[in-house]
Order: sequence, then structure tokens, then C-alpha cells
Amino acid sequence: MDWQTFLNYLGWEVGLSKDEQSVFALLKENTKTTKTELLKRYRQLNGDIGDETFTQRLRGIYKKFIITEQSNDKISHLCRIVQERYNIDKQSRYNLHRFEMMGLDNIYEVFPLEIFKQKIKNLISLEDNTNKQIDILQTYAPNLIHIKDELSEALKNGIKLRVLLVWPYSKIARLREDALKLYSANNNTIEHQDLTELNIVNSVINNIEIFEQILKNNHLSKFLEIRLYDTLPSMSIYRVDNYLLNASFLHGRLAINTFWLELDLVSQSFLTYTMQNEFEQIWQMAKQITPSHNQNWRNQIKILFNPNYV
Amino acid sequence: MFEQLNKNEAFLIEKFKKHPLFVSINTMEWSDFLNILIQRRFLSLSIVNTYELVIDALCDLESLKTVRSILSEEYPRNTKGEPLLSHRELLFQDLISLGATREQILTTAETQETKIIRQKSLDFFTKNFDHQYYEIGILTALRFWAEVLVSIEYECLWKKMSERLSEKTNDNKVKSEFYYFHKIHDAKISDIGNESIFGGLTHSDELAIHLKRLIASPEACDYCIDIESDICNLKYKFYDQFL
Repeated sequence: MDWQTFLNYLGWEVGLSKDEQSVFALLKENTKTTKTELLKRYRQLNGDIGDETFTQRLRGIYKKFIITEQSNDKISHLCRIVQERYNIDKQSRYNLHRFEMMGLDNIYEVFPLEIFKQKIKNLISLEDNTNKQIDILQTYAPNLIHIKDELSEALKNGIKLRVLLVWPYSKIARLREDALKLYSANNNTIEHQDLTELNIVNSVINNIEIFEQILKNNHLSKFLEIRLYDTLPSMSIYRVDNYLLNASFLHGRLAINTFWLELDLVSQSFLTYTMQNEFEQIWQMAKQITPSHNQNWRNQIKILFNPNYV
Repeated sequence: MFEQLNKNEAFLIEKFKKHPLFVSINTMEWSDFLNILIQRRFLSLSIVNTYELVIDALCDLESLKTVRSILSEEYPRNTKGEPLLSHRELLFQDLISLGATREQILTTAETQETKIIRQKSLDFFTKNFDHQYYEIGILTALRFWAEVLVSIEYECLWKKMSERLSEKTNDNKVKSEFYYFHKIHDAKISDIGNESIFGGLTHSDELAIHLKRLIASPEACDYCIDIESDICNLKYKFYDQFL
């Protein structure tokens, strides 16, 4: 935004009148001025004006910028304020542009459940959803129960779903459980949830039982692939085609209750690339399980990463 | 300090694997083989009692938690709390898949030898009650009798079983739900005091963590070595009856 456009925008924002705006628009970028110089500039551009009228307009401007001190140099103060606001605005716009280029579209305080559900519905409604996919990377997904209908519908429509969950019998899963349990007691945030009774084995198994139910109802195993990982749970990812949500695993609170970055994968920036790459890397290290109904998949999970398991 | 104990375990495992019955297992008639498994089932049935006995005998709360957790795995439930097939039922299923009949499994009597072995195995958990290493002793006995050597038994028996059972779902063979799982999940993977970060813990390794914590002297180690040697001999004798 150039200086002149900025002055118009700022004048409008603080509520300057048309007459006040005609004086305010005479300020110059990076230049201190005096009342005399400003009046001279006004007369050159707009014709004659009485001293008192001009002074009244300036007073109106000072009032709206809350410049109240009994200084003789109020105009210098005004110039400084406006210049500072312009510099901040310029930086913000630059940052916004930069984030947009990186694919960062938004940041949410907690997992944006309804938006994510809508993204799945949008994908389902596409006429051609060939090669479209949904990815989930979590330790376990506490919100799975809220999105299971949408996921099930996606599978029915031939959309591929890849799910990565932590191997619940790993030492790392136990460490994550401890990090949630021990520190949730000290967490006083709004989203605080008492996690002292958390059992990560049951939580992961419960997620798998939900998928078992989905498979039982739909016979959709060719579109759903679940893998478990026995490695560091670095981040959480929920992806619907080119839309990706990402969060970190913090102490004392579930990932769904921390901030989420919303990314557009079309940007192909280092940020989106890193996240996609992280998913693919864990996917390669992880091992597949198929929770077929009436099959004893629970025992298979227990020995999944045993070095002697074929 | 655990070097001697680990070395002795390796020695006993190798000795046990060389039992003549295991060495010639592949040439055995299936009817004889099934008979061994049906007798072996009596020892499996007594495992639950053994675990219950140890739970009553242990005062160390941390190891008690592990022992209780292992026992509860014998009777799994889904996350709604509904009971699933117990390990006893899975054992029965595997026996049927291997060719035994329901009648054969249910009506074959326990041999005198099996009965003696089973009863003697319980002695490891009741004798020496006043000994200073009593709790270490019963944990050692539980781990070696009910986990480490069990996995070795199934490993050796699997050579024959795998003619009819498979590790995973397979078109030609029935998937083993009991023997293969216990061969893997009960085994000693790491030496005592050297558990891996990855791969999870087997039952043997879970109990070994407590042994590492509780064994504080070479004398305690020697006490465990003697117990494990006696246990190996007793289990060896169980298979002698079929020669």
C-alpha cells in the first residue's frame, strides 16, 4: 500500500471528516513538518483558506488521534504516529504475503472440527475424486468419533484414507501418556481437559475399533490403510486433498486442544513440503494392521514391532 | 552383575532346545505330537493359578502391577469392556486347527508325569518363604517358567505346528492365534538390564525390568541362577515322558 492510499485508509479508520482528510492527506512520508509548511502546501493545492479554519481542522485531527498534551509541537507528534503506523502496516502486509506464499492460510486456537468436516464433504461432492485422499497422523485421534461419519462416507465414495497412529505398546507411547497425564494437572487454559486417567493403549485401540466398525459396515478395506509407528510422534496432521492442518504435541494437553496451522498444499513451499515429507517418512517406517471384524487383531498389534515377528 | 545370570539363561535355553524330542520333532507322527500338545495344555491351564499365586505372594508394588497386567491379558476385553476370546479359548482353537478333536482334548486324562511336573512347578512359588530373596525368587521363577521357557517350547514345537498353522492369514493354512503369538510375545529378547527402546517389551522383558531393579547383590543373582537351573530341569523332564 503506498503512502497516499495509506493516509486515506487511516483517515477513514479514525473517522476524519472530508475537510480534516483534505489537511491530513498533505502529510509526507518520513518528513517532519510544521503548521506553517502544511498551510502553505494546502493553499498551493486547494486555494486560499483562513488560518482559523485550518487550525480547527488540525484540532479535529489531533483529537481523533488522541494527541492531548499541551505541546506546541503537536504536528510533529502526529507525523511520528502516522509514520509508525505506516511502518507496522507495511511489515504486516509483507509478512502476510510471505505466509501466503508459504501456504499458511490461518491459525486456529484449537482443532477446527467443523471446517475439517466441511472440507471432507467438499471433497466427497466433487464430480471426480479419483486420486483424492485423506491423511491423518496422530498418536491417537480423540476427535475420530466426531469425524467417523464423514470418513466413512469418503471411503464409500472411493476416496483413499491413510491413518497413522502410534504403536500403543511402544515406550514412546507410554512417554506421551506420561507427558499428558503429569502436566495436565498444571494446565489452566480454557481448553484444559483432565488427562490424569488417560490410557493411551485403550485410546489407540478404541480408534482402531472405530475403524473396525467402519470396515464391518462398508467392506471398504481397499480404500482404508491403517499403519502404526514405533518412532517419535513429531506432529499431528489432518489432510484432505490439498488442505492440511498441523499441530504439535505439547505437554499436558491433547494436540486437538492446541493451536493448528492451516495450510494450502498448492503452494508447494518448504513448509508444506516438510509436513508432507514427515507424513511420508513415518508412513514408510510404520507397519500395517487390518482390523477385520471377528479377527483377533489385538494380539497381532501387540507383537507388531517385535524383532522376531515375521 | 547380571552377566552371569544372562550367560546361565543362554546356556539353559540352548540345553533345553537340544532335548531329543525337539531335535526329532519333524519326524514325529501327528497323533503323537497332538498327544504332547494336549498334555502341555494342562501346564497352560495352570499358568493362571501360578500368576494368581504370585500376586498373593508379592509385596513389591511395582512388580505386582506388571504381574497383574500380564494376567489380565489372558482375558482380553474390548474398550467397551466386553469380554473377547480368552487365551485358553485360543489355545483350544489352535489345537482343533492342528487336527485334535474336541473329545480328544476334553477327555484325555492328565498323565501322572504331567501332574507331578505341574505340582512341582508350584513349589517354586511357595518354598523358601522366609528366605531374604523370596520375592526375587518367585519373580525369577515366574519369568523363567511361565514366559522365557514357554516361548522356547513353542519355538521348538512350531517347527512341526507350522506344517498346519501359519503366522499370518494365509490361504492354505489356518492362522495360529495362540502358539505363534506366545512364541513371540513371551520370549526373552533382551538380556536382563539391556532392554531396547524400540520394539516394545515382551512378558519376559517386562518382568526382567523388575529383576534388574530388585537384584542388588551377586548373592541374589546366584540365588536366581539356581532357581532357573531347577526350573529348566523340571521342564526338561516334562518332555522326557514322551520319549
